[in-house]
Amino acid sequence: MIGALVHDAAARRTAEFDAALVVHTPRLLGIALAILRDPGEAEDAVQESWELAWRSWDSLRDPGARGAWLRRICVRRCVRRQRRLLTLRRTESGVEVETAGAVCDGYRAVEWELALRRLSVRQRAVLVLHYQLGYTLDECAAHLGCRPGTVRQHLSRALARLRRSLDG
Amino acid sequence: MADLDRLEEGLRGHLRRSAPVPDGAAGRVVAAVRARLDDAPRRRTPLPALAGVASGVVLAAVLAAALWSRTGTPSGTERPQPPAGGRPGVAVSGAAPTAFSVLDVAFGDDLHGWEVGSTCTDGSCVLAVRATADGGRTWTAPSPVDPRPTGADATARVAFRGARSGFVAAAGLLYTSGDGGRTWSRASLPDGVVAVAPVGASVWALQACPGSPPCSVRVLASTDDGRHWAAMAAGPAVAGADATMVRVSAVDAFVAGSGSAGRGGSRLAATHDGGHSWEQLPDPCGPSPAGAAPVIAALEPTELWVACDGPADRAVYRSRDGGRHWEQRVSAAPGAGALGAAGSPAALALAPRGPVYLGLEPGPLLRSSDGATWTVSLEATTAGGVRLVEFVDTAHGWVVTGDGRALGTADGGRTWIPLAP
Repeated sequence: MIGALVHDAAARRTAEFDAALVVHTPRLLGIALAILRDPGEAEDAVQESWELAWRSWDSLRDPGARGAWLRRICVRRCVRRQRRLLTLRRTESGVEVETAGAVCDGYRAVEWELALRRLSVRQRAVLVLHYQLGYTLDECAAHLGCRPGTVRQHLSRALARLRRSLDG
Repeated sequence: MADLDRLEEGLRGHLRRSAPVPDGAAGRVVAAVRARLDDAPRRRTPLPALAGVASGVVLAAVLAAALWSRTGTPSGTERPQPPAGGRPGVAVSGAAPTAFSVLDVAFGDDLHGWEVGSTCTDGSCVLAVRATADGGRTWTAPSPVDPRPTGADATARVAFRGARSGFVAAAGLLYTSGDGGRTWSRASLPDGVVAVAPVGASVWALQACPGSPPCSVRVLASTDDGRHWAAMAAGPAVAGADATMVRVSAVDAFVAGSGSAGRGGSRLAATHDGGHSWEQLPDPCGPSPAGAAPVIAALEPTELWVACDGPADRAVYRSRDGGRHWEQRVSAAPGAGALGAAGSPAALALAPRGPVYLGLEPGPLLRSSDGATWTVSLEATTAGGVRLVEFVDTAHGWVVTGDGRALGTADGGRTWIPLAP
């Protein structure tokens, strides 16, 4: 009897996890790719995020908050992963860059891409969360696990560095 | 400040346009995570509460066992069997909506098949495909087809050539798989794909033309499982975004649409030379009051069936010469007998050497041995009616209901059993 209950609970847990895996992976990949700018790195980061999520799957009490919880894990995983790399791989990255015709407010897309890759991964994560995903700075801080003041600092430095790169 | 606004605007624009998720990436990650969890007990990785349950395959088996035990079928049987206490023509209703909402099924034989559907959790849905090797009693965990979110009520078609080469047409796009449906990538085709049909060594895709006045659908062909496509020089003079295609051999095919792009006004066309030439067939139905395409079914180049709603009645026609001449098998006014049931013809299927089935949406599934006399095979209380029906032999068939469930029969449509959710 107890064995059957344990088996049922395990099956239910696996079912919930697998359904979330299928549904949330595409969005997590989009976030990871926007932060890391490298498809291979993004896939690895999302895979590691799911493994972390599985380990603490039962700690989340509100299933409605699962999406935000998974995004937080993924963003932090991206930051940790990128910090391990010694150099930014600018040239060999497989990220597609629009090289012809596409001009964003005076700058070519390739210039935007190179400028973004010169930022630290935390600065890039703040820009993606704030400007691409529309999170407030307080929400960005929650995703990154730091204080809002730190996020403001990252944002300010990121914009200044972007401007220097694009104008230089 | 204006400089900052300009910088922020440019940044938003670049982030929006850049770094698209590569095709197949989501499927690769899902497969890798599942494999990692499958391996975990063997590698003694401390994943708590895994308890030897590794993937959705096991979950599906648990659910299927519970489901089949409720319907009275021994869980150890090899093939779908009718429930012991089942009544002929019993309607299946009242089951809770499942997380996997089925949109289409494709079976190669009575055991091996695939479902395409939308799988949802936390209010988000993606298009996914799952496979079965036991007639639908158990399913593999769903594999995502497209990383973009989809609606739970999307439409999609799935077809397979052999066990590995799969095709999904959804929202005007075509996706292909070369590994049995585990990973998917988008085919390099323009938008507008409404049907896909693999037969033999070739795959044909039907591409709708959105122009006004109606312009003909295009037929594209691939001989390398969807990696490269070429448009056929000739095409059927049929129009409509709901056009359908039935291929009965490598060279014989029928196309039906809701409009005509030819002089004869026919909404039916056929080819018998591999698509090099198409002939318009006489349209036995006439204009549809709802503007719907006639539903067609064929198993041989010569025998073609059509069902349609006319201004005053519903009719079923059969042709024994590939659609050049038609014989009306039956017509029924609304409310008259089983054929006059509410709903519109949505699916027509011929069982090899067996009866013909007509699905109404919303409405019942009807069954006839000769096309003249119809009885109810699956009652209309199934929510949303019958969206699709398919038979691989006289006994084994499947339907997809309008509310996203699939049911199977192992006795020629006398009893229907819900497949594992």
